[in-house]
Amino acid sequence: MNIVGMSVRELGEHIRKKEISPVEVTQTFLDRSDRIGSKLNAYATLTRERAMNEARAAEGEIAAGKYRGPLHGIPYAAKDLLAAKGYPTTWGARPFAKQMFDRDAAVIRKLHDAGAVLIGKAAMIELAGGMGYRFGTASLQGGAKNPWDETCWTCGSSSGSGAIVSAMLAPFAIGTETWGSIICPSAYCGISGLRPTFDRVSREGAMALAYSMDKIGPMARTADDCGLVLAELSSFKYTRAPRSLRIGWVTNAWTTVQPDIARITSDALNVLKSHAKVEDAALPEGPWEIAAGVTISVEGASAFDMLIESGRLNELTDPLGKIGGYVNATVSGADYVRAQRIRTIIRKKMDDMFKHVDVLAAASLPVAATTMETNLETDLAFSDPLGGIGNFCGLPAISVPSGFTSKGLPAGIQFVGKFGDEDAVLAAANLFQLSTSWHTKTPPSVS
Amino acid sequence: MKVSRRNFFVTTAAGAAGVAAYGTESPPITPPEALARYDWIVRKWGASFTDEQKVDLMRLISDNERSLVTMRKYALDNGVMPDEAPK
Repeated sequence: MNIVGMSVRELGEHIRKKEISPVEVTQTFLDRSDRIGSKLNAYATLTRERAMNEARAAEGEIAAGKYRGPLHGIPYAAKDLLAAKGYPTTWGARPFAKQMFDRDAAVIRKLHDAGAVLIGKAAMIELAGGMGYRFGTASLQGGAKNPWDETCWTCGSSSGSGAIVSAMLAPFAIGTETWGSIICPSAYCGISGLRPTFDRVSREGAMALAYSMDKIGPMARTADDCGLVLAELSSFKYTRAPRSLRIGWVTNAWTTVQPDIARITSDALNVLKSHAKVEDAALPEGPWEIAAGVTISVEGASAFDMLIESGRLNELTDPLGKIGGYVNATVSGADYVRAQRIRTIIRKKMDDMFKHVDVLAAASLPVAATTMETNLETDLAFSDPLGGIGNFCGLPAISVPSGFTSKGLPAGIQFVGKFGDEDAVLAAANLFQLSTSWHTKTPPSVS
Repeated sequence: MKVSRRNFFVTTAAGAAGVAAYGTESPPITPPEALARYDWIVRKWGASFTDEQKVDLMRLISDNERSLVTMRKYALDNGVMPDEAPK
């Protein structure tokens, strides 16, 4: 039985029926993580001892008839900004390389209660990119390599989480997004990634970057798996039941799109049109992205005020990260409050927009994975109004695989829902994945 | 308008074009607020900055300041309250 390519749902069903042992599953993913993960710079730490203890406990409970649910005995990785007792939590940054916490983050506790098995802490961009970064190598663990092409980056800041799921080192991983950090790695790595509504998932024990914009969410092979995991992380009630959907196709999500991505996205649009009501939708124009950027900058400067004050930003890896925090620290209070007042305006506009559609859809990104050497400041600078608005307003979103470029790199399509409506984005993504098979493709080098 | 999504600052095309080679001197289009911020940062933390970092810093602040000017131009009625965390 090929357990490494299974979805969480499939694996969980085999475990529930006692056809597969959680200990065997955990050992298999740990061995892969050890062997392939180090090559990809995917992990900060493997939590082998904890994993085997949790797996043995799961096996014992299931044998005794105490089955906790679909994540019982399922291995996973958590982004290294989530505290895990007994292991370093480095936040991907040298100044915190030896940081330890004496308790688990709420997310890890919830997954423990669901019977899931923590096999490692996923590598990440230093401080989730909060001080800025110019290169994909901006991580204490080095740049996370894309399993589809190891000369390419996985995107960040949930860079290791993307590599881990894509390379089948774990059936799912936990990532976080303040702006783009789940959607981008999911698209670059050909996996499914769900950014929940703001405050849907507890952030206790997670590194803070922007207090009013940070979200924690699952990354997995399928949208269905993301729904299963979110239901364990929060009060969200997940059902796979289909529902009728009105989809707004965003006409101004990207200014320019790579030709391969345009072709893939056009095909994806045709798939959607054959199953749902699709109409064009244009995002409102305004300084939303600037206001979102100001919010992240200022809240980040507050979250890391002691690091900035100490002058130790120079210990970060990235040339931009070494100075970006000082710039953030000098934005005025008046500008920050103005940004929040602008948030009031855009939230109202988006509430109005979602009176006419259930979800908005667009290409997840206008490009495929870029090389590790790409200068992100100059070569990956483009307007992202859907990402900016979606994160600023705390809207749920999901990216799912939508095809491959001529160079064999994955592309993604994203669905964004109204505040609190993960059900709609998951329904749209499930609909898309029932009609396509892109999510079943795996990188040849690790298959 | 283009966005460098990896530093969360929004830079205008004019701002990006304004990043000419200018050593440690400020470019002519630098807003006075940017110069004030630059001076404050360098006075406080600049002892360890290299010349290259100082150039980068000036560019970042100038671009950031131009974005802030754009944001300040957006018309807001007095009664528009801040929405500090989505609920």
